[in-house]
Amino acid sequence: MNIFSAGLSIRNKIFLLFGLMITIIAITIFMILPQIKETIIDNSKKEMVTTTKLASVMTESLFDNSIRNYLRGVSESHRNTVEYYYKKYKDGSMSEEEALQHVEALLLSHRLGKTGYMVVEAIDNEKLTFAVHPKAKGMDVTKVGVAQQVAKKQDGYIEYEWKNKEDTSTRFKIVAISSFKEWQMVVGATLYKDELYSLMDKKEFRKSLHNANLSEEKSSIFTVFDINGEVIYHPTLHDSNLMMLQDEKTGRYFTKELIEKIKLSESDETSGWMEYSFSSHGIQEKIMRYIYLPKYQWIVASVINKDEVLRTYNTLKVKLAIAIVIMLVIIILLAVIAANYLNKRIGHLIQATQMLSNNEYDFTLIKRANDEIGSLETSFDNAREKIKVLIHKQEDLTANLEVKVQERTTELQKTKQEIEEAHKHIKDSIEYASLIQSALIPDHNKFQQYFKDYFAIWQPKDMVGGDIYLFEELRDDNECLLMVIDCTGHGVPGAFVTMLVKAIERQIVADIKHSDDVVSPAEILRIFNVSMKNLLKQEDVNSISNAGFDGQVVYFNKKEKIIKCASARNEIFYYQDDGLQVIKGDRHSIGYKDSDANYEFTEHTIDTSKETTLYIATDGFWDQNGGEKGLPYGKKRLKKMLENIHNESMEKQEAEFLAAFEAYRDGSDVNDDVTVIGIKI
Amino acid sequence: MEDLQIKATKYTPEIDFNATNRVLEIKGKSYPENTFEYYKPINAWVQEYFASVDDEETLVNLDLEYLNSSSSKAYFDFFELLDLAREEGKSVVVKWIYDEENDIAEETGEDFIDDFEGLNIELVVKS
Repeated sequence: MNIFSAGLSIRNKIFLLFGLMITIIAITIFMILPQIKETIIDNSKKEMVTTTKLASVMTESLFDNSIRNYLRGVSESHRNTVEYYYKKYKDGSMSEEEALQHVEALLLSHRLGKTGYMVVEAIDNEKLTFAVHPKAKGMDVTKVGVAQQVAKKQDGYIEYEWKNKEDTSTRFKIVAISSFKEWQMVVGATLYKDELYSLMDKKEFRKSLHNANLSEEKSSIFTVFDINGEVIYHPTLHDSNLMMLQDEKTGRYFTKELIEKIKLSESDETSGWMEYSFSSHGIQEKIMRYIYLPKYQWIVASVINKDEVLRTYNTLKVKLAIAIVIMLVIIILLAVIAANYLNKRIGHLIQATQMLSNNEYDFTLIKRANDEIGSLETSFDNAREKIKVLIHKQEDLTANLEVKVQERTTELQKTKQEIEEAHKHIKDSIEYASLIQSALIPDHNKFQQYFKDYFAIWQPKDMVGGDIYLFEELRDDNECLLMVIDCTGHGVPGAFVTMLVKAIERQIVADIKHSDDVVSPAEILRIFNVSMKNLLKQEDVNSISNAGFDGQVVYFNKKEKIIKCASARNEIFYYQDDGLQVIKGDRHSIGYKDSDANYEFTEHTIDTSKETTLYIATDGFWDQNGGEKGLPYGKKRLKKMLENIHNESMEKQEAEFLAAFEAYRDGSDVNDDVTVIGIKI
Repeated sequence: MEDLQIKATKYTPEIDFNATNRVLEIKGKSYPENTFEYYKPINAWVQEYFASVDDEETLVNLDLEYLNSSSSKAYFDFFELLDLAREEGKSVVVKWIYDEENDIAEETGEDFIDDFEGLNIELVVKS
């Protein structure tokens, strides 16, 4: 059903449903029709049986009455004749014997029809004293049963069966008797019943049958005919013989056939059906119901047109057809109305839905009826109202939001501008600061005066940094001081500390220049330590500042071919022909709160009469994260590199340092400021 | 006492101090901008912790790939707290964990051993 109806509109579904209903009703009716037909035929046939039976009874009774009236008339008129002769005897004009002879002669001479006759019996004390009978003249009929009955009954009728010697079977006889008391006589008129018909008044009989009006249906007729086919009664055919009537279609002699059938039948009570076609207003199929009356050897029959029987059925069929057509029209009308109604109702909903999907919310879906669709309309309208409210809220919010976003954007832009301005300001400041810091970086021309070759890598992590290196010529052209300083942190705070370091360094250098004392890098570190702590007030436990530096101080005396050096924390690497030497820095930083102001740094001396290559660097180089594991570059890796490159030119070595640094870092952030100085002596 | 747990950042290590198990773990790199400020609450926790523990052993696992100079100083302070606790009779075991390729960390560990001779510091090499 779903597969069939899936593509159908509701209208068509309703039509389909109603159509199915009509079909089912029609099929039901047409299935019942044959049974109705059968019932109607059965009823008609039963009616015919009854009608025919009634007709036969009526015919019989009418005929019996006719016989009796006729015979009684005859017997009474003869009795009057007997009385006439009795009066003759009594008035003396005749003797009794003469009178009786006249009676006998007269009555014997009288015949009734073919074989009927008159009889007289005189009875005295139940003894037959006189008898007149044409066949047994003067015979003693006391032994004959009928004679006994006649003698006893005196007046009225006696019916009996009689078989003459020449007959093959017994026949029905009737005798009407009238008594004549004076002679104690009974005068009778007797007759075979089947012979009476020729004697009786046929017109009168037919009239009485006709008046009985046994045919109810228009096409039905009632007829009586005898065993020879002679018509006794027929509404249209008189004095005809039916024997030669033929079936219009098959040509059979249906009356003859019927009579032969009856003759062959052993039962006296014979009745039955016969069908034939006969022409009366065109060829008609006929149904005949017949009853055989053996007393008269008559056949009483009702005949009806088959059409007549089926007329009720056909009428019913036509009426049913009309009813179905009317029903069909009404149902189609109802279906159309129902479909239109539903379509209209659903149409409103569909329209409403489309409006919703087109973002139209300002309408009202009216509840049109108190049914399911009505509930749907109500709930739809509620939903619409809620959506409308939500949408309005949403719109308000959006509008609000847009205003807010605009406000915020403006604010943000303002802030951004401010920040950008501030940033530019700071950047400009720091850029200028970096110029100042760069001014601290020594003039490399001076390096050339003291060292065979050199390189200097100075890369602050940011624009300014906490790393710095210093170079100072001292009291003559032979003495110089080289320092690599890694101040606390990097960036601006680191840079501040470098300025401080520079200031202290200037003081120290000035002091050296004004004295003849032997220059001691360890002492220089000690002075840095004390000065830093003093200047940053880091002797005070409550001081919040905690700054300082790690670094190497190298003093070179060209004339004496000697290097003296000291280090806070960071290594001093140098190469001479016996290989790489590492001077570990003292594990003591300069200037910090917990740095010991009295700390004495270790001083190392290197003989530079042999070629010496010396490297000092800040931890920014070996602490740089990188490699596969993101670990610091490490001092082992540094030493290994130095082994490989120490014989190269310083320019080449600088390039190797930078390349190794970048390769190891491989894009990772630079951790710290990086300073590496290499000198060749 | 409540545990101290601080997730690692780009500049600071993961801190997982469990007072119940008496296991203090630090793992990662340390080079914050304001090192001393950063380690102040951590060191404060350690002080409070040692004030609360009895003589049961405390295990300190330090797996520090990189310390910048100021962080080194902050950890020096941290070791001083441990040493102080030890001196007060608490049992402290330090495991200095480092990668076999990380000679900087190894050296730092060795330096701490030199600086705090009384402390039980064990070098543990990761491979």
